[in-house]
Amino acid sequence: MADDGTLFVMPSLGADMEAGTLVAWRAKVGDRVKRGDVVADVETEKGVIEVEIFHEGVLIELLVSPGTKVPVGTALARIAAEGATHVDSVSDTDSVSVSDADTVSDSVSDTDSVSDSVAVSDTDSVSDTDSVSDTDSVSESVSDSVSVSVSDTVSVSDTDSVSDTVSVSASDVVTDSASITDASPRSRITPAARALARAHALSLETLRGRGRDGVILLRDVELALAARPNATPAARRQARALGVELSTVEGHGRHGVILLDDLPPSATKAAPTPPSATEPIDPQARMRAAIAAATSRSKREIPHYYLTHTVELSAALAALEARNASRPPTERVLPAALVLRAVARALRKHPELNAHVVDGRVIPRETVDLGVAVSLRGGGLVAPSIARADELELDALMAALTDLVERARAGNLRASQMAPGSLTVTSLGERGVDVVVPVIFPPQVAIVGVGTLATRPWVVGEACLPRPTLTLSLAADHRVTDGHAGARFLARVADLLARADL
Amino acid sequence: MNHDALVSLLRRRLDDIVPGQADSLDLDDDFRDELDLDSMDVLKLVRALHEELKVDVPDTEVGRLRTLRDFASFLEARVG
Repeated sequence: MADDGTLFVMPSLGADMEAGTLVAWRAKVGDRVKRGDVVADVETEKGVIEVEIFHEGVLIELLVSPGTKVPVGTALARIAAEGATHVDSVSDTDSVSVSDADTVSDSVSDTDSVSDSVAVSDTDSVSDTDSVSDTDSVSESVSDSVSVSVSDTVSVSDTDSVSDTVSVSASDVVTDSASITDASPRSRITPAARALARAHALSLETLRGRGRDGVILLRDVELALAARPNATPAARRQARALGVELSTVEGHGRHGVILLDDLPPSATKAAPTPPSATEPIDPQARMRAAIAAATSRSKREIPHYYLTHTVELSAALAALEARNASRPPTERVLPAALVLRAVARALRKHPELNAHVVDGRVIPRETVDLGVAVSLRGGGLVAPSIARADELELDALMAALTDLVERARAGNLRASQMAPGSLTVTSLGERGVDVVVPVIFPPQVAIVGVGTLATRPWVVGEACLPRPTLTLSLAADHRVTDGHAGARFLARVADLLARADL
Repeated sequence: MNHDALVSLLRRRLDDIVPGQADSLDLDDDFRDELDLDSMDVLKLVRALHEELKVDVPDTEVGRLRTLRDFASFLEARVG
């Protein structure tokens, strides 16, 4: 196969994003790019986002010009691996192979119920690849303990009644799977991610791998699924057959699910309606619409339960004050960072709350990425995330928070910050709110609210003393966890937060 | 730097944080409430003042300085 490069596609920058407008290229043809380079500005309902690239190589073609609005997954540019000459690739869809000469070829056995470890071997699936390096780090970055069971039932997410579940006969599924050609045999993907993509008839071509060296992780598939319009499997097949972009189709099923009837019959190939025709132009109105869509879906689909837990913070605040007193303002840490750290570390111990629900399926997540609700001046809200927040020390977490808030308010978040987090922390404590009763952001399964930090009566022994306290709250998805698990999580957050060890 | 100059400086730095609203602040307005500032915004202001005036507003003081008048007075006592 000739080396036609890797595609850089319009990423999904949030569960509710269906399309984005390319505002500007930050790189030009011939530029050498590496992982993490910002190569484009993309506008969504949430503002203009700096989009990083997750491939390494030379930009050989820009496929979309600035000002164009394209659906998530659309190829934006082509990148050639640097030094790539000619690599034979394996087209057997069940073995994963890589063709970029500077990366590792690995062969991964594909199973449907998955223990997600990647076997990296210098194997028969490797052909002309001349350097096999990094195998240790690859296996490290893609191995995880998540397991996904893939059933033959595709369900449209809906909890109202059982009858809303769309069942597909086995033969449908077979047809469906068979039609997933891994058009790019070079995509490397973990078995769990492959199984999930297959179960949802998701083409691997449209996926962007966030694992090391662009390996597609379970999370990447979840993100792509979350960004996909809800449609029945039959409608999806029909859309694919017709070449119709689902995001341009209005669904008339329950909750807007796209039905087969919503698509034109096979004979007439419909021209997709321009996506911008019905959308409000005003950014404020668009953001309002995006928030309305996400919260309406949340309140419609997610059976929330709510818990609160008040925590006494004198020891932690005294420690923080002492630390800040000896540091210049640039190195000061706000109590908000303490709260984030406690939530992130508690979440690591409660993986049941670190999951997304996608199409009615619970998908465990691999890392603790903390969403932070940031209110914008002039109204509106975004919930960007801090990747691997549980691994950050306090200073690093504070720096990440500062950057996140600044970028969110300036409207120039990075794409990596736009990925939906494990769960979100929302604080209304600055305005005197006692307790936040929050709304879960789909596809997340929980959200933590933070009330006002204030001096309140607190019983110590036999005495009632004035002490700084705040009330944490948790809203969680009852389809995924019960109050008991939520209460244990919240107690752990409170316990970590109350500690004086910074 | 006198009190009036410090008030002007505070307005400029607040304008960086919330564009277009600092000029209309009265000296005795609670500027956090008026401009809807949160603790991150206030820290940003403190950092900017530290860089410009080399004056540190400690954590323990920040919460007490609610108005432009008070804030400027605090700075005036510490700037040459």
